[in-house]
Amino acid sequence: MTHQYPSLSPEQKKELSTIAQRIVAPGKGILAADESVGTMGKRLQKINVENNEENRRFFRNLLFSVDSSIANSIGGVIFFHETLYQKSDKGVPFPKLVKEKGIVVGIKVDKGTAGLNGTDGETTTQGLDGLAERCAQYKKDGCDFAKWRSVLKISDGCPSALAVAENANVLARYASICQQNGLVPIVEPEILPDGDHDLKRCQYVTEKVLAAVYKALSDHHVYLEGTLLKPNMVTAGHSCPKKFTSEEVAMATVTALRRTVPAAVPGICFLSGGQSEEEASLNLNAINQMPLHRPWKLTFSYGRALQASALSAWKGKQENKQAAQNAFCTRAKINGLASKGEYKPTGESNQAATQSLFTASYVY
Amino acid sequence: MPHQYPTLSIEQKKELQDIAHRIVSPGKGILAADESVGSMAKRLAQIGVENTEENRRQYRQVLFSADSRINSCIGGVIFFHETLYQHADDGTPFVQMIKDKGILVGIKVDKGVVPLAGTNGETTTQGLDGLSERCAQYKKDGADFAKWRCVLKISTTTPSQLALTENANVLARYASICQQHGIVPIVEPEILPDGDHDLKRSQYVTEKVLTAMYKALSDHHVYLEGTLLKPNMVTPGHGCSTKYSAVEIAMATVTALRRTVPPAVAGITFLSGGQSEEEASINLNAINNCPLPKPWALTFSYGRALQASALSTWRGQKENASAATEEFVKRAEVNGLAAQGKYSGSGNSGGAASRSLYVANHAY
Repeated sequence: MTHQYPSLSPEQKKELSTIAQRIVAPGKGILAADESVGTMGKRLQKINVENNEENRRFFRNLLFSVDSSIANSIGGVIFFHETLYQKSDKGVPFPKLVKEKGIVVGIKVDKGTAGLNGTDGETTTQGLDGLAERCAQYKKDGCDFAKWRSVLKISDGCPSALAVAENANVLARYASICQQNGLVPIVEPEILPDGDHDLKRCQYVTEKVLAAVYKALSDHHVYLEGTLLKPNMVTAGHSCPKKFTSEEVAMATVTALRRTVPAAVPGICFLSGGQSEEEASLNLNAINQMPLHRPWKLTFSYGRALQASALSAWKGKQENKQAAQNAFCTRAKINGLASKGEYKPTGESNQAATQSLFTASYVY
Repeated sequence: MPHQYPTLSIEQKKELQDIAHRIVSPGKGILAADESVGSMAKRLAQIGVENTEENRRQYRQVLFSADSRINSCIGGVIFFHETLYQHADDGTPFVQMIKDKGILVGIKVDKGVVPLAGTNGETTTQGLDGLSERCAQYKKDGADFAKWRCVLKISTTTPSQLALTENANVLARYASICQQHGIVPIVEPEILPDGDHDLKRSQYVTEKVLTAMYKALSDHHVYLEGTLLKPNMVTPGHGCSTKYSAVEIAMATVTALRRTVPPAVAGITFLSGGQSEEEASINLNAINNCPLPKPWALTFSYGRALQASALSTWRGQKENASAATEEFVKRAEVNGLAAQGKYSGSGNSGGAASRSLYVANHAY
């Protein structure tokens, strides 16, 4: 322990921290377009579109070929492996199309969850085998960041100590390998919103999970300034009978992060989980209006919350392309504003009304 | 793990948070006047004064009779047990003298270091037995915060994993117990400056030690907003042949803290270790001028670095008392400025000159 062995050179560190800061530059967040084939199947089924390679290509093309001004709100796009090697209608490789807009290209590198024996249905995530070689190749093919999703759940006996430790460890191994190959690792320890637990319980579990993640990152000598965090917001479980406001969600979320995420981490990009597009934007906005000191960027890494309207506008029809693109650009702009706490939803009574719900002395 | 059991009520949390913030309010720091009888022996021997209870009382009186100028630069005074129950010549209890200045009273509660068998001369710290009852009594007797010092050292084989985890654990137990009694725990994991290691090594070890500590605090359910950290600055070992500037020390220190100390921690109050009075002020000033974002107060908790001149002026003579008090006040004011980054040094070109030594691309 006492001796430091070389992990990254000053140049490597500088490259990583520069990439990370570019992704979360003010007003920008991430488009998570890395749905696996199986997951895309679920999305396409909802709009009655066949899940084939061409349809997946068409939809991603729809997103990536919008006007370059999208780069004002999108700092990075996460790709799925298949998509990284697909091309636009005009034959331009997708990574090139995205990079030309000044957006950083990322790649999902995990290989899905695997069961942890002896637990109550808990999982770890696989994908470490040959990861170094894969990262080196992805870097050559245009990627500058990666993403790996671990999953935890809240129930009476979950998450267990094993699930917390195992997922934290596997995230740290992944992060360490990425950095060796010039890729900024986005670390995603998602705690699912399934369940009837309340906000307080979610906050408690989130704090424990994140403390374990950052201990593991330290143990694995990961360079924090060259990482990003993709956590869940702190919310009540889906079937919790009590409803909580955006301000309460924001307060619980920022409090949990302040207690666990070192200031060296440049940015925190929330996943949207099961939230609707508007909910995800309102919550992000409330988070960025919290009067607590927030030393990292707080922005988005949204999949469904950026694409839901675009998908339902498209419905698989060529002629709906423009409408779908407009829907996507609208959500991107809104979330860009929300990442600065400047989103003013139309039709809602003034911000002051919602701000007054905030109780200044609320102690979590 | 998944269930939170009650630790502190909302009122208890609020009280702890308020105390912590008052101690480190802008421009204020801590006078560490908690030297044990044994430590005072060393200090008094240096000025040829006998180590008696009366002399210790006289000396603390010199410090505590400082005028209202210290009210704006001292937020808290750490007492040793004996001193907590002593009075000034006119019968005013020391505790009351301090409180009347609007300064908070703290108490050292550890009972010194003990060896860890099977290690290379490493130690843990004792004092947990009956700590709960002692804290309750100290709170009644006027204390609002406490201090516990753990010690680690750097050598080719240390700190060992055991020393790291054992000291982190014992600090977390202490912190947990204090908070139950309305006492803000100052957590002090001191890494000694003895040795010939360079700045980089000190930074590395400091990061590992602090990470272990915050993991332990999380595991023990300690309320971070109601704690303070008292770490060493990151400096090279005393026997290191390379000399470093205040700016380099500041950069290494702030980088280490940004990677390990959650933003929720109210303040960081550095120990002065073996530094001279001026060195400790210059370094603290450089730390507060470091261009990296610093989400916590960065101030002092100095013993020798506040008292050295006062001690050598006093020399045990009553007629030197007010001159000695004046020396203390001067150092307190200087450090109050340093805690805001406003100290321009004792006559040297100061602030601007040291800032220009900062190398923008230096990656730590």
